Amino acid sequence: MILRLNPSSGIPLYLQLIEQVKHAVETEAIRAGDQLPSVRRMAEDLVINPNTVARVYRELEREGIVEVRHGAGAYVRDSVVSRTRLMRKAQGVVEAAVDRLESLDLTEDEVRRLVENELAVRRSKSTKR
Amino acid sequence: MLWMKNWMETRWRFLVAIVVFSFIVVSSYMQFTNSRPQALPAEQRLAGTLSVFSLFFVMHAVTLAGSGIKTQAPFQMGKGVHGSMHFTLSLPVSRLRLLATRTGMGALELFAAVLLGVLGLRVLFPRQFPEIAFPILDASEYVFTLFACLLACFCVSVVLATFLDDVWQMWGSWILLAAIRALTTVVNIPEKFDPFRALGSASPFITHTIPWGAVAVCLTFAAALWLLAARIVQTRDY
Amino acid sequence: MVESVIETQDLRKTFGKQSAVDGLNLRVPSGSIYGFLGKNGAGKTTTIELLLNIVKPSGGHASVFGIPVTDIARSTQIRQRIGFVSEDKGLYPYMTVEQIIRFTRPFFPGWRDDLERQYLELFNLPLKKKVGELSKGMGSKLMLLLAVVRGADLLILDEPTEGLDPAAVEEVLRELVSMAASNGTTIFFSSHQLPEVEQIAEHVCIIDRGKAVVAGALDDLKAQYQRIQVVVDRELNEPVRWVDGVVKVRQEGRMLSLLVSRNVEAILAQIRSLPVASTEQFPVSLKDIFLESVRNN
Repeated sequence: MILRLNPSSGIPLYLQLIEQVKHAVETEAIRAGDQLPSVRRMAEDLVINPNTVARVYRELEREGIVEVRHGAGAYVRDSVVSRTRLMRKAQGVVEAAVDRLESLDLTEDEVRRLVENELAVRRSKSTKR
Repeated sequence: MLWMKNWMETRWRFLVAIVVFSFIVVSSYMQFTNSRPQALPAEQRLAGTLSVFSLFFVMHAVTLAGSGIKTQAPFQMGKGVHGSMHFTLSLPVSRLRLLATRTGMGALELFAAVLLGVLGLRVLFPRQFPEIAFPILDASEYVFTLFACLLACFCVSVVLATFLDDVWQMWGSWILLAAIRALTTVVNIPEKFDPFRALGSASPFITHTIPWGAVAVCLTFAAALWLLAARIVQTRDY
Repeated sequence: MVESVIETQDLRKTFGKQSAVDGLNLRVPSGSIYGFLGKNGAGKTTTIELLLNIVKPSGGHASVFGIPVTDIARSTQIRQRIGFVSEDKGLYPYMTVEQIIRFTRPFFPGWRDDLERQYLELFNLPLKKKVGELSKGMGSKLMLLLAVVRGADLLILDEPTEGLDPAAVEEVLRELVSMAASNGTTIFFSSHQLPEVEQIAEHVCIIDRGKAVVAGALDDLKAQYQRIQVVVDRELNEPVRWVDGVVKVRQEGRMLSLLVSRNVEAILAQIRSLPVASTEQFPVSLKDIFLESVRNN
C-alpha cells in the first residue's frame, strides 16, 4: 500500500494512518479479504514506530474494518465492502448531477459553490434544531 | 584483538625507536670510546660505558610506555583519534584489561629492544674491551637485569601516561627519573639494592652474577607503580 | 508493568563548578524507541556517558538492565548487551573498515553475520578504505553498523543521523524501526532533529540544564498539549490569571493564543467565563512543546 504520513502536521500519526487505511478501503485500493502488511513491514515502509502501527490495527479491528487473525495478520472484513459499494453508487449520482449542471453552462467554481452552500445550509438547519 | 590493536598503534613507534636508538648508540659508541683515555682499567671503563648506554635504554622505556589506555596516534595525526576513546570504553572490556594489554605490548616491545641492544653490545664491545669476555650467560643475565630495571622506568611513564598527553608524559618521565637519580646521590642506598650501580659497575658483565637486590627493588617499584596506574585508569573520567 | 532498561534517580554530574546533569530522572521501557531531546549543552551526551560508565556520577543512581552503572565488577555485563554510537563518531582512523569489523566482532558472541553483510551493502561501505579517510557520513554509518550488527538488546545512539543526507537519514531510521520491530531492541537515541523523533519515537524526554522538563509517551504528550485560540468580543481590561496548565499566552487585540500543557477542561471552563466570540483548539507539534519547555524560565 502506498501511504504517506506527515509527522509535523500536528495530527497524531496513528490518526493519520487510520484515516488513510479507511480511505484506501473506500476507494477499493484494498478489497475485502485482502491482507494488510504486517506490523513490521508497515512500520518499516512508513518509517514509524511499530507500536503505532499495532495500535492502528487494533483500532481498525475495534471499528470493524479489519479482522486480526492470530499469527496470520490483519485482513479487511467483508462487511466493509458494503460501504464501498455505497460510495461507488454515490459516485455515480455525483457524476450525473455534475453532468446536468455543466450542461446548464455552469463553471467548475460555480458548481463547487452551489454544493458547499447546500451543505452549509443543511448543517445550520440541523444545529438550529 | 586488543593485542592486534595495540600492535597497530605502536609498531611504527617501536621500529623508529629501534632505528634511532641503534643509530645513537653506534655513533656515540664510536665517539665515546675513541676519545676516552685508555689509562683507566677496563672494568671501570666498561662500567661507565654501560651506565651511559642504559640512559638510551631508558629512552626506549619511556617512549614505549605510550598513553595509558587512550588511543594512540600511530603515525599521522588522523582525525578522530581522541574521539575513539568512547568507542573503546563502550566495548565489553574492563579498563584494567585495556591497560594490561597496552602495557603488556609496550613491555614486549621493550624486551625486544633490550635483546637487540644487548646483542649489539656483544658485537661492539669485544673490540674496545679486549680484556673482558662477554659470554652468553653474562649477556643473558645482563638482559634480565636491564629489563627489570627498565620496567621501573617504564612504569613511571605508564603512571604519568594515565593523565598526561603523549609528549608531556615523556618529558615528565625524564624529569621524574632525573629527580630520582639526583636523590640517590644525596641519599645513600645500600649497594646491594642500588639499581644505578646494577646497570653500571655492578652489571653482570663485570660481576658475573645478577644483582638480585637491585632487581627486587626495581620490580617492586614497577609493580607498585602499575597498580597505581590501574587505580587511576579505573576511577577517572574520560 | 514493563521493566525499565534504563533507570536513573536524581542522577547528578558536575565538572568542577559546572553542573552538567542536575537531578535527572529517567525511565526507559524495554522494547521502546525513546527520544532524548535537548539543546546543546543541556546534558544529553553527559547522561549517555554516565550510563556507559565513561564518566562517574557525582550523585544519584543510574542502572542499565537493572545493574548499577557504578558496579565495576558487572559493568562489562552491561556493555556486552549494548550498541553505542558516540556523538563524535570517533573510530580508529588507522584501521580499514574490514579491520575494525574484525576487531569488534569477537567481543560479541551474538554478532549477526547476515546483518553485517546486509548493512555493508546497504550503506555501501568500502572494506579496504581506512576509517580515517571516510567521509563524516560514511563514518557515522560504519559506527552504526558496528552498533547494530552485534545483536545488542539496547542501542544507545548519540545523534545517529547527524551529518547524514536526508536519504541516508531515512535509511537509518528505517533500520532502527526494523530492529525494534523484529528483535524488540530498545532504542535510546538523542537528536536535534525533532521531525525524526516525532516519526519513530514512542517516548520522549526533553532535558534542559541537566533536568528532565518533559517526559512521557509521545502520544500522551500530544494529546495533553493543545493550542487554544480565543477571540473575545471586546478587549479585556485586565490580564487574566489563568489556572494551572497554561504554559504561554499571546494576546493581540481581541485574539488570545494559549499554549496549554494539561488541565484542558478547567481552562476551557475559565475561557467560557470570558466574553468569548469563538474558541478553537489545535494540536501542538513536538517542536512547539520543545521550544516552550526549554526557554529560559
